[in-house]
Amino acid sequence: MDEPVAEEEVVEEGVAEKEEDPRQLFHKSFTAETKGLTDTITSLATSRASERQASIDNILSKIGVLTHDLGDASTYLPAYDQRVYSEQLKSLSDQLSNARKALAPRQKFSFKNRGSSRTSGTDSPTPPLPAVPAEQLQASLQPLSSKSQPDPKTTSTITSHENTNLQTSPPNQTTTILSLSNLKSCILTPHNNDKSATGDTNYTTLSVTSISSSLLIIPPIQGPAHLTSLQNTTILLSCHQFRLHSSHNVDVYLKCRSRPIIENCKGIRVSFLPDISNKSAATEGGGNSNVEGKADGKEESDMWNQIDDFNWLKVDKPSPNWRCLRDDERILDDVWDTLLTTTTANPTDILDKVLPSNSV
Amino acid sequence: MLSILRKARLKDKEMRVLMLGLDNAGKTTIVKQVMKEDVNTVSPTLGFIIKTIEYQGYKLNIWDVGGQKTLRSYWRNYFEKTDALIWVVDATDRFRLDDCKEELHGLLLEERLMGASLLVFVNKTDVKGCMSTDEIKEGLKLDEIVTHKWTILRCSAMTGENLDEGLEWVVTDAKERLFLY
Repeated sequence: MDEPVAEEEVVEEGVAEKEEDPRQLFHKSFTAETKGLTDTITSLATSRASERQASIDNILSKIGVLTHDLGDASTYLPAYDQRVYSEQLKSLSDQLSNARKALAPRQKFSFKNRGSSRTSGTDSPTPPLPAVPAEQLQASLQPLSSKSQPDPKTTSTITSHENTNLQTSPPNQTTTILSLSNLKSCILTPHNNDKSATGDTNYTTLSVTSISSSLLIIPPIQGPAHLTSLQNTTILLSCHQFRLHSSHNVDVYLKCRSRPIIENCKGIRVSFLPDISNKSAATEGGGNSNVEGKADGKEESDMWNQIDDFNWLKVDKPSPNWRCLRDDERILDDVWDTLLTTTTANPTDILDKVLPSNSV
Repeated sequence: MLSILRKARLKDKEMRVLMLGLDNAGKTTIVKQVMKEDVNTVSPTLGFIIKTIEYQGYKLNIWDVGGQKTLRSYWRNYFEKTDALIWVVDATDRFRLDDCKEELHGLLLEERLMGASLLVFVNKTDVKGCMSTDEIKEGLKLDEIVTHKWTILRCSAMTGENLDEGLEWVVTDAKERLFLY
């Protein structure tokens, strides 16, 4: 009696395989698999800890595969169905993370292997640690996690000055990052022109944030320069990549080997890097062959004037957010010379002459 | 039904890899280095770049999408059918590590990226004074990620260090998933 029934079922399935809507087929297998996964997730709590990680990985992968299947099925599934399936996957993933959070005090090793806290005894990966309450771990973590505090050995930082003449210290073997922030009405010049002391070492990275009404003459930067929130400031800089964000009224005397970009900026005026910075130790190759803005030099191309504005993607019209300095607006070399030789003067006297607001 | 589809995908031997990260992380430079192209002429990416890399018989379609703030809202347009997400971190950029964490964790909430594994590339490790792996792990709160399989690798787009190892991980991981059934 049983056998014929079974045969019938097989036949039915065979027919179904051909005629059934792919949507229904998808629904069947998808539902079956998500059901299976839900069960596996539920059973995580009772599974052995040693096997848990493997089955978690397995579940993650299966969710991944299903996500792909859903993507593949997008050609024949109605939008609403896709949405529903996708929500099911999302909820599976949520269930999994909840299950994982509920299980295993898994954060127990997260913070131990920080170099600074590495003392002989406390560090061994033996069980006593899990007994430490989570709050305590959090508390001990606090002083270490102040990540915005740069390592003084590797970063030369100049921050929070007003009305001051400042000088960057020369880069050396370990100090390669130059970081400037929160300067107001300051003049920053490169370290003394004693090139022999510094050898070939250049700063590799420049990071500048929150500068207003200042003149920054930056030593040569080998790598990228990233500048944010500059106002009414004049900056002299040579670098590999140039990114300027959220700034207005800035004059940039620039030498840059790739296309500079600006984002959320207004009133940016650019010019080529004057010879003066060469004299003040800001040499880079020493050549001034591209001074006229020809960017076709093969050896050391200078793209100071090929700025891309992320807020202006039209090609037919130039961006209103930046332009090149006209010859009569540019500060001339001999003016720079005079300025540099009199850096002991009151900053405002010099700033009056070079800042964008005073010449616009 | 699903298994047929899966087999078809295996045969393609194509994988879609999405490369994201903050601006100035070195995404394009990594791609250029892998392609053995000149890495000294990279300009900030205005939009996106697609490159196909042959690796161990697999075709990796790498989508390198610009990281500028303005572009980040467009990242979502690239999520569909991503096999692996490569998150590139600038190891020298302490100031924006928090930003970097926010963006990454935001991405991981995306349901369309749920199936993707995550490779965190700690780039610019050739620069002296860059952050340690532990610093980055903690700064990005990587240990809190439970929704995705992830790993972290130090690399240098300028020297090429560890780039192949990264791709290797991506491919091996994707293969494992496809052969599950």
